[in-house]
Amino acid sequence: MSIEDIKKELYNNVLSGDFELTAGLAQKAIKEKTNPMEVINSSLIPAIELVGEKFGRKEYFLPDLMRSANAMKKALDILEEEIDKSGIERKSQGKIVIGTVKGDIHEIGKSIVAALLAAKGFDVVDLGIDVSSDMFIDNIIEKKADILAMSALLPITMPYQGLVIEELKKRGIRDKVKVMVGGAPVTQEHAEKVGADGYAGNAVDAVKLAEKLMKE
Amino acid sequence: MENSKELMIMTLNLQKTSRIPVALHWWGVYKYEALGLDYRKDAWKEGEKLSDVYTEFYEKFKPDWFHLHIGTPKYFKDSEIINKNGKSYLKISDKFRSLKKEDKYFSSNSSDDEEIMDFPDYLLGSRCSKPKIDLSSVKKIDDFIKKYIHMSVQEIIEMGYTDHIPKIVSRYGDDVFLAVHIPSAICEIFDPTTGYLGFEQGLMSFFDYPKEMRYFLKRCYEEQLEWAKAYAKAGVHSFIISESYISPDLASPEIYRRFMKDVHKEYFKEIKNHGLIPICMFWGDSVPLLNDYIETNVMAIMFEESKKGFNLDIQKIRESADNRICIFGNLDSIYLLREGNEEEIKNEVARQAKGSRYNFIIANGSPVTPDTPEQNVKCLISTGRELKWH
Repeated sequence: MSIEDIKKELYNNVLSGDFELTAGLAQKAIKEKTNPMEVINSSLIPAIELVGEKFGRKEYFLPDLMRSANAMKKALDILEEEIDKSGIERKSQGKIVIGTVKGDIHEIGKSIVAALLAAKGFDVVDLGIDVSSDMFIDNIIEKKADILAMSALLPITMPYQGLVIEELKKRGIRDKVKVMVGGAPVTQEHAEKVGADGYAGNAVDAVKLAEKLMKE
Repeated sequence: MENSKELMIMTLNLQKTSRIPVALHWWGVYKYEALGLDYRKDAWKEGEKLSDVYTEFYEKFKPDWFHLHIGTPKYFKDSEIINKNGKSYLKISDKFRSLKKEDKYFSSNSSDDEEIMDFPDYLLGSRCSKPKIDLSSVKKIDDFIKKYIHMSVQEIIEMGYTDHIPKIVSRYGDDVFLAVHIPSAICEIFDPTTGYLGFEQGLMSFFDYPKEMRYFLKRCYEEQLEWAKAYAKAGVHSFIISESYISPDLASPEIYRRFMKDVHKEYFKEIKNHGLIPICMFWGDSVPLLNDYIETNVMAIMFEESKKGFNLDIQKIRESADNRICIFGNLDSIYLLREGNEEEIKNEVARQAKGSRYNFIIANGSPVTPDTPEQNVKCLISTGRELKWH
């Protein structure tokens, strides 16, 4: 199998979510002395981008997205290990601390966003659900995060996004981190009201927003 | 002129009535707030006292039904909320600890301490962590169900889960429609934090263990029929389940058709056989599966309001349903009921009802949320009560 065939197979397997073969294909690519960064950039990222687009167009559903993300991760783990060994620096798109705010245990939307961000090359620190203001801020400081992404699914927990932003100001780090908000009842108007830097209505747009915020 | 019970039953059976019923639903936390109670303390009253909360709330707003929830186990009596390591827990009274051990609905929680239960103070404790299932064989599934899920009708009643119902039945059973609404078996399986599989594992299991997953789903719904039977025995008229997590926008229409449709058909048929009217709240974008849902023997469908990713126009849905099934309205609980004014509510109620022909019940989409002005709820109900069929 030529390296081009391996890359093509990897692309197809990520696209179809066939995660049994991707680790083996990544190992084959390494045996062929291919630059692992090239495999990531030419196979994995285009494939997962297309998966994200298909998800946005409702051609793919969550199980498809999860299987594709899993297929990609299995290959990525092997390729990243090789990158670490070789000393090549993989440029991160940025570091994002993400979580569902305190009082809210809804996880699905937040996890989809986290998966897509990771797939697009962001370093994602997923704090899970029911995350307090202190936990968000401590992690932003400790991990030197570029972006804070907060999700809220309940109308009663939406205001907590604003509370965290106020805490960021009090602790003097509001200008050090971009803040994006989302969640089913969250709107652009709410985002502006609480002083967030951006709002996204779905996971695909959240990734685009994160990319945009990193350029600002 | 029909009373509320007759009105609801006739509408659910697509029969001509004198007016459109109004069924405010998911009274949830709001019922405590509207009565000036603190749900963190008052939600834990024993069943009989809970029935007083329902009664007072009903008398305040007078919708056409009682929207009841799963109830309260007897061992919550005299419990107290304690704080431990920064988290809230429900401390069970010593005298009821042995009873708690026999309960499979709430008791399989994650706490290491037998005396206390997880008590997320925003959720009324409805999401105590469940043990995780191994789907690798039918035997393991059967053993799991026996150990962690099965409760007979008698056990459910003895545990106190129907204690909130008798007083309501005796006072209102002939005049007002009484419905119990509980999470479906899917919710118990797929809840991301507490489910038997969790959300991600649940979705992956459709691919990794298709045969076993189908069996597990079928068995879980069979087990849930025990709950329907218990509520039927207590005297309610309808059994509602909420279907979430495998909606077409999340799991795909195909997964529903392959794994759930037949299970639902059998399940709703059985609910009817036990004398209850089966109603289902299908969360998410229900439009792609509307015809499939109609074919499941369910008698009415409830919808949430439109969300950012999908549009649920109740008039179009009713048109597509073509008088084959009763459709509940989906007035926006947040941006209309909580934040709108009376004029907007009147207009939207009228818009949703326009063109309906004996197959429609005026209702909100999501649960009524805290801080919803009482006059808005009253406006919804009074406007609805004045509307005639088109």
